[in-house]
Amino acid sequence: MVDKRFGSGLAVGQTRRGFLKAGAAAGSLALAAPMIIRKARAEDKVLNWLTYSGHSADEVIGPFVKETGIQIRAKEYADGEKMLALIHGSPPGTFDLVTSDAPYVALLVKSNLLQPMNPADYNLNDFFPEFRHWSQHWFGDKLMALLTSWGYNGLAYNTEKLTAEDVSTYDVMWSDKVKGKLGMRDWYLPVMGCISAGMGHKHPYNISDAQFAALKKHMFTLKPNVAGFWDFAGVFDSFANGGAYVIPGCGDWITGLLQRANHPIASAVPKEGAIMWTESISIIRNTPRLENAKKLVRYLTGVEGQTRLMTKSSYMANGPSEAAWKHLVQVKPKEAEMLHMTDKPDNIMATLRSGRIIPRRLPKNQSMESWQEAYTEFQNL
Amino acid sequence: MQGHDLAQNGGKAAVAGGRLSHRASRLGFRLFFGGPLVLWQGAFFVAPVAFMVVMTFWSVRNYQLSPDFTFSNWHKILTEYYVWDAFLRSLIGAGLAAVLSTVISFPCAYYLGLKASPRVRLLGACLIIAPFFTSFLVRAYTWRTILGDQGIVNAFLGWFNLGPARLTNDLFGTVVGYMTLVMPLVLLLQLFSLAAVDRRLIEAGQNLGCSPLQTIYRVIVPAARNGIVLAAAFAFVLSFGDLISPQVLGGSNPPTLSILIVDQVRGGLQWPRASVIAVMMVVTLTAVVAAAMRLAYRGSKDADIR
Amino acid sequence: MSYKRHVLKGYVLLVLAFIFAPIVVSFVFSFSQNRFPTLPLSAFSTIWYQKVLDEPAFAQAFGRSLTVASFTSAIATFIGFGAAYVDYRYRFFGQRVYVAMGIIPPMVPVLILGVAMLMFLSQIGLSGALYSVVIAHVVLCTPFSMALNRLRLSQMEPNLEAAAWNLGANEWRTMRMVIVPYCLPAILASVFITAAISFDEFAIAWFVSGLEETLPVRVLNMVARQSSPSVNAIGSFTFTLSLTLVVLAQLVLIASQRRASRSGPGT
Repeated sequence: MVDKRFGSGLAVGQTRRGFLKAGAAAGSLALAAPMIIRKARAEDKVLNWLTYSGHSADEVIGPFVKETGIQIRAKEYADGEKMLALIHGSPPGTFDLVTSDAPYVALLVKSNLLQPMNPADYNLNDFFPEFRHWSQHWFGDKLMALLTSWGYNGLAYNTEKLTAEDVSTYDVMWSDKVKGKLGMRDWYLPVMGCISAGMGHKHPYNISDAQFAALKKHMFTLKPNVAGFWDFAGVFDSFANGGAYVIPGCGDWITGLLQRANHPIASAVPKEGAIMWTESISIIRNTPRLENAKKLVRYLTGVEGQTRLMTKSSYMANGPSEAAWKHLVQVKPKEAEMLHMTDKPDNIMATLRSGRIIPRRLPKNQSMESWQEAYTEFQNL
Repeated sequence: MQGHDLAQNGGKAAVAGGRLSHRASRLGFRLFFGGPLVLWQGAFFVAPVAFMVVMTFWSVRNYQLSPDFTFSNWHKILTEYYVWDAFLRSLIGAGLAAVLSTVISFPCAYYLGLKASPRVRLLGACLIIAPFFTSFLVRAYTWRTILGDQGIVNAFLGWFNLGPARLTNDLFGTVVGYMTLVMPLVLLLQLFSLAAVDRRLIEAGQNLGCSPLQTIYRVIVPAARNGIVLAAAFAFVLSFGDLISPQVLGGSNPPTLSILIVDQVRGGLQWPRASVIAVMMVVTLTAVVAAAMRLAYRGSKDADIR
Repeated sequence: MSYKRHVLKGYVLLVLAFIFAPIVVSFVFSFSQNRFPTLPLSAFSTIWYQKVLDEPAFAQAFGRSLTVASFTSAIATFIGFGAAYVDYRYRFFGQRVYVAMGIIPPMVPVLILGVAMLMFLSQIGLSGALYSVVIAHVVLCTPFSMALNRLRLSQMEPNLEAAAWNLGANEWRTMRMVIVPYCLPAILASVFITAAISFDEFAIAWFVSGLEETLPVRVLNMVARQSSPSVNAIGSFTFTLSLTLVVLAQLVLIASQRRASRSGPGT
């Protein structure tokens, strides 16, 4: 079976040298192939996980691997769209689990790629009540994803250049204090959500066409202040090197890292509200390793996994588990403080409950394309 | 005498096998060297590219890619003003990169190819190739550290109380990125060309009274035209399609065609429209390279074909 | 004359300085304790090297990249050389299309090409492994080899081949004794350049390699989402490796030149 595939793919010339070359190539690659295939089919002890960067690091899953002996092979990605292309383009069975952002869960469900999960399999009572039945993960009566991390996207700012009062409103982005020092993320969804919230829309993604046109106009007036549109690395670098004083659509997950490295950067939830982001884990349909996949999900939603996910070195995050919160406050109080997971009345759960952290959704009344197009035009100005 | 023997041996081989095997051997020769390109690219490149073209006619319904036959993607992309803005930017950026890299590399390649000893020339070539092995991504991000608002260059300028210069998030940064990408290749191709220029031509020029500059202009450049134009063409192609430089060093502000492709995919999963842009880019680059090759190989030693 | 020569030498050093500037800076920052590369430099530390060495994934990714680069380089150099020679020597029907096949790959935006290759290779069952990356990289690197060799061939004295034929050598012999030796600089350059391009290519590799992560894909992930300074350490590793190769090549050359000068006129 293996050799046949090689034969068709590596047809090189028929002459002596050609034969030798083909033989050598096929031979060595054929040597490699059985190992690869055997590894992939070695039933119980491997899980193939499509996830964001840093999730599969030893600092996060180390205890799981040690305890269960299951090897995790992770495919890391940064862009949800590339992830979708990858899943669609790869042969079925390539992956067992996928961690993705809430909007992409919906897209994966639409493509019929996910397996329904049984809430009874997982320890949902550890979660805060708000997270036990997270509506974005329920499709009809089926649970398709479990929350593993969440956070908010509000304003990230340089505390030496702007005060907390400055950033209590999104209007600060238009201020002369940040002329040429306003950064933008390269992703339209959180940024435009913030600007929409800043205009007073209670449901930033559910706006009428007239409101959307006004949003475009309002956003375009920001251009003179904009320094650039950056990916994560660009955002980190700009904050660390003084290229930006304020960036919308960012939160503790970015500023926590900068704070750990002693940079004067912090995040704020403006009074108009911040946009929530969520990461959740799902099981791919028809995976042969269902039981092991469930074990990983249990670990990642359990106290140990949650604590590690919250404080991993790639980016910090909040988690849905109340039990993990309590644990974190005890063992890593400094990090808990950075994540606003304290006993104070303004802790992050209080902010969430007050409604100032708004769930992120795909645009409801306009197409994703029209929102992206507005952003492209914004960039083009 | 020796030549006669050799000819006889060659002739013997021909006679022994007969005319048929001789032709077969010649065909085998051609297939052996010419075949693999067709086989490999035919097997692994043609189909994906054909798929890309086919995809431009597909549509995205409810965020799902579905086979279709529609011209709406073409219409949408070709009538959007920001697409042509980005197209122009990509053209200008790539053109700048091609011209600048050619001009900047030439004196360097001139020295290494014609003035330096073979040892130094080889050392130079090795030093040019070495950076190829380091990650371009890492080099691009490191340029941010060097050119950033509080970066090395600005710190240096700060010592002389010169104001911070905005070197990233604009065209300057993007061009620096392009140069980082293409200079090693341009240098190498120019070096190849210049090192192979017939010294007798140069001597002849000097004997006829050319100053060094005139020699360069009237003898060396025309003789090395192939490599110089080819290098510029490569620089253009690589810069036109580069995503990293305009994004990391240019701040995506404003976007080039390569960034637009990413945008199309990000918002609405519009792979068909992104493919339209890709086809536009391939057609443009093919035209540019075809023109460059005509310029490069016109009237050169091997028979004129294009 | 010597003043001009010094200026020229200085210019060459400037150009090299530009090329090496980001590499040197990255090298310096790889020893900086700070998570983000900022000035002023923070304390000297080797923790990032430690992190890289501790990770087994790094060694695996490095090995995979070396394997892929070696195979890619060998295959692409051979195919490119052959195609360049055939284009140089013969006129045939469809020559433009032939040359196009050897020129167009770098023109296709890598994001689209990556997805298209993934889908295609998936259909024929050749995706998700290291040979998938080799397949895609050979497609991408052959144009460079073809261009280099075509350039070198265009510099060749056209009567050289005819002379060999007149002396009774058949095509294979001419190839072996005349063409290949003449093209050797281009062939060697092709070997290194195609290897280097493959070693650094991450966009297409990400799509087709499945779970077999190569080094540039690893670097991409670290840079794209984590902004980890370990990338500087990795960059320094690979650069030191290539510099070592350069030094070795120099030594080999010095030795062979000494031998050549002893035995008589060289090239």
